[in-house]
Amino acid sequence: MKASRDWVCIRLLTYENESEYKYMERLLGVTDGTLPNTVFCLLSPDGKTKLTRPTRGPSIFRTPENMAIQMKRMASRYQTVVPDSFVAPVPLVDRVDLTMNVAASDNRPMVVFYHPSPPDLQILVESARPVVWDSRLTGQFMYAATSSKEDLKAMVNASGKAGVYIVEPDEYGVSGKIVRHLAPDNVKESLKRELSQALANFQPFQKNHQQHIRDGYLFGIEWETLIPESDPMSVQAKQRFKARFDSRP
Amino acid sequence: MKHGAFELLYRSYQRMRFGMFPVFLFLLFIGTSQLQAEENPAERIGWHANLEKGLALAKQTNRPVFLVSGAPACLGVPGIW
Repeated sequence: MKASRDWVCIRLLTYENESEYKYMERLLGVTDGTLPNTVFCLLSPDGKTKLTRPTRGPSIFRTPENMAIQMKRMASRYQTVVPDSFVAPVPLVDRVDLTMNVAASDNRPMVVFYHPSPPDLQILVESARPVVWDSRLTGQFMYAATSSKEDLKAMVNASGKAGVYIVEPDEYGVSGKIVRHLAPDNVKESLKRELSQALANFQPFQKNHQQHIRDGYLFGIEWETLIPESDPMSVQAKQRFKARFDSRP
Repeated sequence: MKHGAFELLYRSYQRMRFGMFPVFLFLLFIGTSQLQAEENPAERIGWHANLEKGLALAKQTNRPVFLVSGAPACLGVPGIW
């Protein structure tokens, strides 16, 4: 975990953004439309030089300990050029529904910035910037921003008022419970306290992988990706599972 | 757990290799949907979720890039990597 702090950590969603999908195809050199659903690569700060061979996963490091050691060693080659006071932008996921799915998959709460006016939304998000990278809060929440009231629909009893919504997604990330709403004027003063409180109260789900999938099929909860899944292994596994599920007595 | 996140990554990746959940992702790395209860709040990686912005930040700060990608749905069911 410590080793990751010297890196800009980027986690993409394989089938949810066309240009990112194409980037990963180029990165892996996949030309036959079979991009795997997982990708791993370490890159230089300019994003051009590959520090490791792009693969599905980090097996080249053999052990987690070695991975941490090697990452620390690689990062030491680069001298950070920004002052300590520099704060990275809020790590927003592209869409609210997608953020809810990611948050559920991560088993984490999420934060939705909402303002009907895009310039005001930007101000709202910016005001939260120092808080989201607080050492105790880093990585604990997923973030989304929207100017569309429609996007708040999955949040049960959303008032539609501008501000910051702290939300606990359900197990499948298809709906969420609002645990707190902060008006835009309160964000600077209260966000850190409210996020810390939400985090302290948050109870992650006890998920069993197979049960989760079985129940998902049973309840008809399916996720449609923006780009059709292209990982042959994954597609076959899905077909097998569906066939087994459909033929059950 | 000194390298907890990395251990999760490997454990998940092993599952993938042996074909139990081919779609399933090493992204559990993030310390995400673990199958057991977890300490809350455990330390976590702060992921950037946008390639363009992430790469711009790396360039601006001269920090190397740790890039992963995955799908937040397993066998089409959301809410799990």
